[in-house]
Amino acid sequence: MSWEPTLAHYLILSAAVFTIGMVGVLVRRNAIILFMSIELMLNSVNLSFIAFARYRVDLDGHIFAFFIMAVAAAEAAVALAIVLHVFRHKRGIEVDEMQELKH
Amino acid sequence: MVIADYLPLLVLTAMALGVVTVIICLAQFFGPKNPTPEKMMPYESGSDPIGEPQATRFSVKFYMVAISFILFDLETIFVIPWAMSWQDSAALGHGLYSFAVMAIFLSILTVGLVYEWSQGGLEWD
Amino acid sequence: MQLLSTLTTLGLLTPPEGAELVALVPGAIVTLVAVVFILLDVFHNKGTSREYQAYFAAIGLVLTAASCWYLWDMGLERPVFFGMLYLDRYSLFFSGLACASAALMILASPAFLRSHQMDRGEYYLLILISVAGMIFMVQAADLLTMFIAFEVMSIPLYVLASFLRKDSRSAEAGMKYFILGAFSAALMLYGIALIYGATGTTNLEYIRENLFFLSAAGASHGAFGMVMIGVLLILSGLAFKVAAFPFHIWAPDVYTGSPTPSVGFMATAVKVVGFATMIRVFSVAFPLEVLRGGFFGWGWIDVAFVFAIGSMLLGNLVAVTQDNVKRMLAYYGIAHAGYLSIGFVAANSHPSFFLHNDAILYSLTAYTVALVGAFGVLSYFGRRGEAVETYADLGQLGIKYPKMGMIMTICVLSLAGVPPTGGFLAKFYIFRTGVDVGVQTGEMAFIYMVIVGVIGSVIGAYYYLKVIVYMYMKPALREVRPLATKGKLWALGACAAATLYLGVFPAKPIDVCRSAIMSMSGVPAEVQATIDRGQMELDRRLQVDED
Repeated sequence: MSWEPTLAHYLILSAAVFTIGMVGVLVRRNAIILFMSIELMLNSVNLSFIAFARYRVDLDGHIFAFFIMAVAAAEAAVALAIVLHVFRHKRGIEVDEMQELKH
Repeated sequence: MVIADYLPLLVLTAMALGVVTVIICLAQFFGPKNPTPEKMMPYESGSDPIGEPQATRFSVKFYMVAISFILFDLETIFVIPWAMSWQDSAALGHGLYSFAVMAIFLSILTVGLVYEWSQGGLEWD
Repeated sequence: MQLLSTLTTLGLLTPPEGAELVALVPGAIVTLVAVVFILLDVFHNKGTSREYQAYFAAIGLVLTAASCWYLWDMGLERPVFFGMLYLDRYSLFFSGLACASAALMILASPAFLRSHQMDRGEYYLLILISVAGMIFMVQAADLLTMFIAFEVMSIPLYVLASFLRKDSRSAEAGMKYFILGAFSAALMLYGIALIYGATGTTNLEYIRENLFFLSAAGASHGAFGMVMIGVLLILSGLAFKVAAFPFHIWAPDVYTGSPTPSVGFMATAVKVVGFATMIRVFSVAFPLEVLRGGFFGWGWIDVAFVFAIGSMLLGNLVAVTQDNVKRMLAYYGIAHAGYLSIGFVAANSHPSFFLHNDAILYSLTAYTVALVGAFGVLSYFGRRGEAVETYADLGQLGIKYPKMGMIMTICVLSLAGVPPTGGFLAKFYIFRTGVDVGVQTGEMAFIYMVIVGVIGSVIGAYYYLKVIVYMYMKPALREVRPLATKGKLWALGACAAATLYLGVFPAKPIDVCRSAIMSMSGVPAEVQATIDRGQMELDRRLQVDED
């Protein structure tokens, strides 16, 4: 049972999480869940950055991950405000029901 | 990092799950069942429950606090690496410069805080 | 820990040279204006008009543009701040254009916001912050700076889209923009992660060098597959921002639902900056033959080719069926992304055509002033909480308000590509670029692209002339009032004047575009050779003129 996780394992995990997030955005209809899926995608990117940085013994990847976290927080603030805004008007946050702009 | 190091954790998880499952099954099959209206009520420290739990929504105020927290909390991920390396730069004679850099960053954040305050974002009521 | 302290000592905490600080000037001015603006807003006397805030923001943007003008001859050869930012005429040109679009749209906003009962200072603040992001995005010399600037530009726009609190359509627009925008940003990020993994750096020039090294060392097919996926993901993230097919789905809804003046800003400035970044990133970091491809070797040129054809067809055909002018302009925006992609594909298909990128710069300028004018006129009319949006709403407006009618006519003719406006020359230069490159390489695909473009412009003339027909010949359906301020009249007049100027006296603007594209720093050696050849030719021509 002596088995080292290698770069490939982290990348596969990251790609899997990214795909889960992407499929989530494409098939789910609740705005909060969509937003959670996007966060999942961002965090899988963080995982690949950290894995690459660790593999190359280089710090740029770590720094990049920091900035992604900060940006994700800013996005979260805006996203929740917009969701609240939508909820006040429509009493619901299902994106399927947002058809007003389509005529 | 060898995966075998995590073996005890796996065993612990398996045991915990096993014990819980066994106890729940035993209680299900062998425990006496005598439901009375009092026993079927949700437990709220002994008093009668007031209203349906689903009907109460979380107030928007919590959202404001959470957002303010996450935004101002995240500045630490930039401040801590800066603090870690400040001494090195001071040793090179750039202490004042690196201090100024962080001062600009923090003062922009402070302006954000002033704005939030003036808009009533910090009031609870 | 050892590593962390080494890196930060080298990077963050060593002061840059005094000359390097110059690179920060445009971005710093706009950021400073934004910070002062927050304080101004905090001490605003509640209940009084906020028009002065619009003027403050506009003056700040004009100052920024003036600083770009001032720095025009002070470009730096190398990227500064440890390979993070460029300062060249190329970036200054686009910074100035973004500032102009923002300043004009800000001047067009106050009365519109008042009529929607949303006279809030945040509106101008968000535009200022977004412009700061744009300025750093066109200066970016590193994928890290590019990504941060990308987000600083985008996040305020999501808020701007949903700015009208009393309008549920605005909420919907903001929601759609946010979900799709964040999704595309995540795609781009994953692309950046893959590039970083393959090359070990995020600096554009180092990426290029490492990729050359990898391909010379005979890297495995798998490694290049990873790079290729990364490149395409970055391209799709940028294509989303410029609303190119097939990443255009958000545009019509967002343009329809958002407040009209802010649409003018996001439709123009974002597209300008998106294309600027696209040219910079792809010509600096990924010029490698394997990645570039070109007529179905399936590199990024081929993908951009698909964007071009798809955007032009879809945008023009769907625009015809619209009865909402804002929606029609959104589809035109998609079509225009297609026209620009013709230039992008043709000029970047081989290093020796690099100078043809000036057609893109000229076209973006003409498009910006005309579209800002059109959205400005749309936001000039309205009634309490209602905006003028459909063709029918435009009835008789040209006759009742002759000045506005004139401005709208000029802008719309420019967008339709009718001489003697800037839009005509812009389309002409773009198509000529395509034909030129097609003739020189003997590759028919370029010519086909231009043919689709010409057919598209003919269709475009139909739905633009419809605007003029409604304004002058159809009856008015309902009463609308002008939402006028002095600044707005000036701003719209300036748009119309600039549109005509670009069409009638194109020599000077083209020279500016050309010198902007020739100054791009960080380009690979082959491109530099093309630039030097162009410079020599230019010098010789000037010599002849003097004699």
